[in-house]
Amino acid sequence: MKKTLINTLCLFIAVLSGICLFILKYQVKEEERQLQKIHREILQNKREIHMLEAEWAHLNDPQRLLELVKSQTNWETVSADQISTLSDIPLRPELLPAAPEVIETAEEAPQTEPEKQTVKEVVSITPAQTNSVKAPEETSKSLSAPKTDENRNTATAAYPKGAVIGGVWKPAAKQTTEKPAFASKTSSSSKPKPTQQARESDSLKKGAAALSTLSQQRGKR
Amino acid sequence: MLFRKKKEVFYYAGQEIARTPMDKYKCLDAATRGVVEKANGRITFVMVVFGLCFLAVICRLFQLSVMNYHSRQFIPSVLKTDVDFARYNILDRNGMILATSVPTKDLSVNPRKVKPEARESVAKNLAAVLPGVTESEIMKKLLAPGSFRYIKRNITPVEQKDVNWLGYYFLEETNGEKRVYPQGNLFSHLLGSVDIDNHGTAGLEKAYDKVLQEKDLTLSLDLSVQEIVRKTLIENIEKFKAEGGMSIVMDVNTGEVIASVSLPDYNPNLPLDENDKDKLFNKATLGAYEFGSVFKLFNTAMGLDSGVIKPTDSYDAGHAIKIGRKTFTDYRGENRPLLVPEILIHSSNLGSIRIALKAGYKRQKEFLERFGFYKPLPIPLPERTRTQYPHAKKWAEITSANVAFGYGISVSPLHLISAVSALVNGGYYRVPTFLKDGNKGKPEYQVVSEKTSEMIRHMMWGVINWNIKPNNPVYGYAVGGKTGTANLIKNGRYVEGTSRTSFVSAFPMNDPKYAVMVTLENPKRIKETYNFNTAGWNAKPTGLQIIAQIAPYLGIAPEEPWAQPAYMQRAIEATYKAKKRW
Repeated sequence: MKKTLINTLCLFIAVLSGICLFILKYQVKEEERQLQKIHREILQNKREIHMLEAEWAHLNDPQRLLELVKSQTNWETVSADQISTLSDIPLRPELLPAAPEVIETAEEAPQTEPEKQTVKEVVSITPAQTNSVKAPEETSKSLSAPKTDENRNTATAAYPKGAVIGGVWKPAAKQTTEKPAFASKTSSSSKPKPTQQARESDSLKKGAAALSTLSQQRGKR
Repeated sequence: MLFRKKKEVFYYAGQEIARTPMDKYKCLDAATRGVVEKANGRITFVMVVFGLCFLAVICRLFQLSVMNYHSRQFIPSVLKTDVDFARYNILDRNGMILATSVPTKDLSVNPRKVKPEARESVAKNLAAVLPGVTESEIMKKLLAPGSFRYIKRNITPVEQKDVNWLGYYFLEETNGEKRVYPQGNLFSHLLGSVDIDNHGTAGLEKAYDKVLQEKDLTLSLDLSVQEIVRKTLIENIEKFKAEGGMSIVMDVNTGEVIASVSLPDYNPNLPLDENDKDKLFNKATLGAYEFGSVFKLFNTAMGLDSGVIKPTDSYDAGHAIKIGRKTFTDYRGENRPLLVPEILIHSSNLGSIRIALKAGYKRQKEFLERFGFYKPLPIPLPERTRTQYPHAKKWAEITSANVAFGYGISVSPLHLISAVSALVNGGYYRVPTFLKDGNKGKPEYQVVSEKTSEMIRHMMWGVINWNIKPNNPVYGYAVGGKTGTANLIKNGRYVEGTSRTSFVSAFPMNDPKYAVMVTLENPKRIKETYNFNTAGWNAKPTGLQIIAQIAPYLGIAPEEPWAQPAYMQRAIEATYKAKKRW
């Protein structure tokens, strides 16, 4: 009796699994059909994307773009004198008076006074005020270096001029002078030294314009 | 009920004994029984073999379905989701497409299926919808033996629609592929071309044929720089009524070519006329030219690097030099002793010859070999030139004097710009490459010392900057360079009045990043240049125009004036003094 029951159960399971298998098989077939369809769609889309990429490249023909730029905008190629660094932008005038005091003391004090302290003070003021780049160690050089009388008159003389370009500190360009470039009687070292020339106090507007050019240009890049 | 127990068989006493499988054959005679036994043995053998086979299959199934369950892949019948092109894209360094393949259809016919009486009308109708194929051509294909003939390859979607409307059952459309160059003329020489079966036949398409069959190829070229260079070159060729021109921009630190233009060029998307075959010539890599005074850079570098001369030395440029039967003079000479930097500034043949003679021709020969001037460039491009240089046995003083100012030795522009890059980048020569990061991990060769390189940089800077005006577009970029003018050679002779003007430069000179070279073929004398046609009046301004436009794009910021060493200041002051005297 027991054996008969087991036999019957086995038979039942066999029939059930057969039915399940039948259903599963058709389900899988359906899924595969779906998958094939999706693959075909992907392939078709990829083909279309490929064609669109080719078209995009064709539309990006620089000559065509140049014509469009000429007809739609008044943009021109950036020239060297349009490029400025962040340090060319002057400080906010109301924040200026605090700085020269520190510098004056640093200059007038005898050599025995610890230099590092003054440097720290200046550096700690600079980023807070300009909200721009951190000054590298070259600051100490420019501070400790002897200054000409012209430089002393302006408040911002001691601030490091330059900007971070591509992650590297670059000293700022000198104001364009009429003298030929070779006229500077500096030593024969090849590395450009940070300029000590004073900035003009009325270049606030110029600086703002330069910043906008710079940001435009960076955006373009 | 189904599994009822089998009934026990009833045996008489002794009946169950000796019931072997062979008992039933007891009635047979010995010979027949032998045969039966043999057959039985064979059957058993076959059963065992099949049994083992089944066992193997079962084991394999077990292994695949149970043991490797996790690693097995469910493989549907459609596998591919990648567009499988015979040829992949060529991209510029920023990922812009320079060459790509687009899927098309090829139209073919089975001539056997076309009824003879219908041929004429078929040819007529097909020719009407397929531009570029004539009726007689189609007729020829319909009359041809065999069962397959292409009528037209790479038909357009419109043509495909028109052909389908004709409803001819004997036409077949197979998937094809067409190479397209979206930038037209811009990269024509460099990219080269492919044949109808999409195999590279010229340029980089041929050089990297196998790579392009597997993946995209990213070049070191920059689309925008290339366009700027080409546009400026075309403008200046028109201005100076030159016959052609060439320009290369190279990254001096990696040896990567950023732009390479050779004019006249052609549109690789269109078939080329028979008359325009000379447009296929890539001057940048396939042309070997004498570059004239540009070689004075190498001459001076040789002197400085070997320690034969010092930058503070001065050499007589007032008296002509006679070697053998030949007398050498200066073009619009200064007629005074010149400092070494001044020899480059005024491009003095006499000064250069004196340096070369002092260094000796053997040293000169050895020095130029360092830059690979005696061999074709080891680049995969099929368009490479063999250089021409004096025969080793004939290389003596007179040859040396010629080579000192760039005559008697012909190299390709790519040779020259790679060598100049090495001169300015600290003295490291790298083989030029057209691939992005193509020189990563490749060797570099120190050809001159860093000190020599620095001195040459100062002198090249002096050539451009000794009298530069602040309104010059490159003022602030610390450009340095050297011009060179050489007569054209026709039928083995120099033609007076014709010239090939060259300008090679690098910027910014305090930390060189890029080198630019420009060559104009036979520029004419024009009013704006006071009827001069030397390189300083045409090739140099062209080069400077290119630099002024590409420098901001390449992220080069103008620097403060570059401090010059004492010998440069002396040289420039001396030049100023001499000019004042005039």
